[in-house]
Amino acid sequence: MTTVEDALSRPDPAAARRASRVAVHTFRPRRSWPALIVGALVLGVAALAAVEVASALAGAPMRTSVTSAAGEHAATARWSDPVVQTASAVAAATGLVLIAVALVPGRSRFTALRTADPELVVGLSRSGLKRTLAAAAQEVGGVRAARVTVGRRRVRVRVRTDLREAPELRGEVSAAVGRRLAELEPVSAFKVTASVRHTKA
Amino acid sequence: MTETPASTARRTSRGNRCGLVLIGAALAAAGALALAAGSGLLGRRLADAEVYSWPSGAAGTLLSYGVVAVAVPAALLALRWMIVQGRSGTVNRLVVEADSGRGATEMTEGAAREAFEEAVGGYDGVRRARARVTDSALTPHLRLDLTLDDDADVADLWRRVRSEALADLRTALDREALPTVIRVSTTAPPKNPRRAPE
Repeated sequence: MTTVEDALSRPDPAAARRASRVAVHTFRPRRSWPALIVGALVLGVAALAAVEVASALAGAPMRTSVTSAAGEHAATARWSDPVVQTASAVAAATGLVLIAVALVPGRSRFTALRTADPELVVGLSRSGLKRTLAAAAQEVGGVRAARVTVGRRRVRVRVRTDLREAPELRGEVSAAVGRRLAELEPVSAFKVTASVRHTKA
Repeated sequence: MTETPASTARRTSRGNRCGLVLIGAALAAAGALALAAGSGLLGRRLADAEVYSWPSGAAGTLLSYGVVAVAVPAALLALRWMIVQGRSGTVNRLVVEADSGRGATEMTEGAAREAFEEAVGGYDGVRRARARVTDSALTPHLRLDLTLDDDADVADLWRRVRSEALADLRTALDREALPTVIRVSTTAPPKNPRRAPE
């Protein structure tokens, strides 16, 4: 039977979904480096154009070596010239790369954990997740060393053991790492795969 | 509607995405148009026309003013975009009690933050706790960087931070809500630990 206390303590599903969405968005890369590089280039080109044209309007043209060389080259170039065509293709490709950089979510350094509270976002660093899962694998009897690789949706655990016959070890390691993941409650689910290597005596 | 944590950082991220898409689209469109013009898709005459032909007379002067009118705001916007990347969003003062029209009670963020860091730093398994108050003095947000021991229980520790230190901080600041981001990392135990005094 569901009591009033049970109903009140249960997290609101809509709030929990919103919390997960906020958490994932919070840890997405900010694209600061692409923004800085593009910002610096736009600033340079716009400032140069403004200074060049404004000085010409004022009657004292300030010709820099860059604009003089570009002006001389452009004065004789035609749209069908191979150089102009190549430059156009490079500009179009650069534009598409910038759009891709902006729209592809990218991989965060932190794995968002479920909190069910939109006002609290918790993230565990990728190296922290690896260490925690490796520690869980090492707690399994017979495991000598464990190495964990974390992908977008997959966790790969490689363990080394001194045991010659250990057919159940792989399953035990997978279960231990799965339990640790269940305790952590990451927003995105991970699939665990384990492999066992026997250390030669 | 409740506020979400790190809204300034998320605003910057959204701004970066929009800026990159805008400039990318402009570059891609200009490049595609130039390619089309050069390959004769827009007419043979245009393909053989000169790339650079600045009009003379009044039309040239008008174009010059147009270039300056576009280039100056573009340069200023680009400068602002670059400055925003270095913005940490931290605030130095907090409004504890705002009384409309009759002033407000303020406190330095250091007092509240240091007590919070000390409380979290005292938990078992916490190697280092560093907090920052961000966004604004009126609607502060909290960012906590936690470094834990390798074998610490991550889930248990963040829940403890929420139910104890964070709840105390909210009470101290007299706030029902304090949007918070906790970034947890772990570290291996020190290779040469100092001996505890006997």
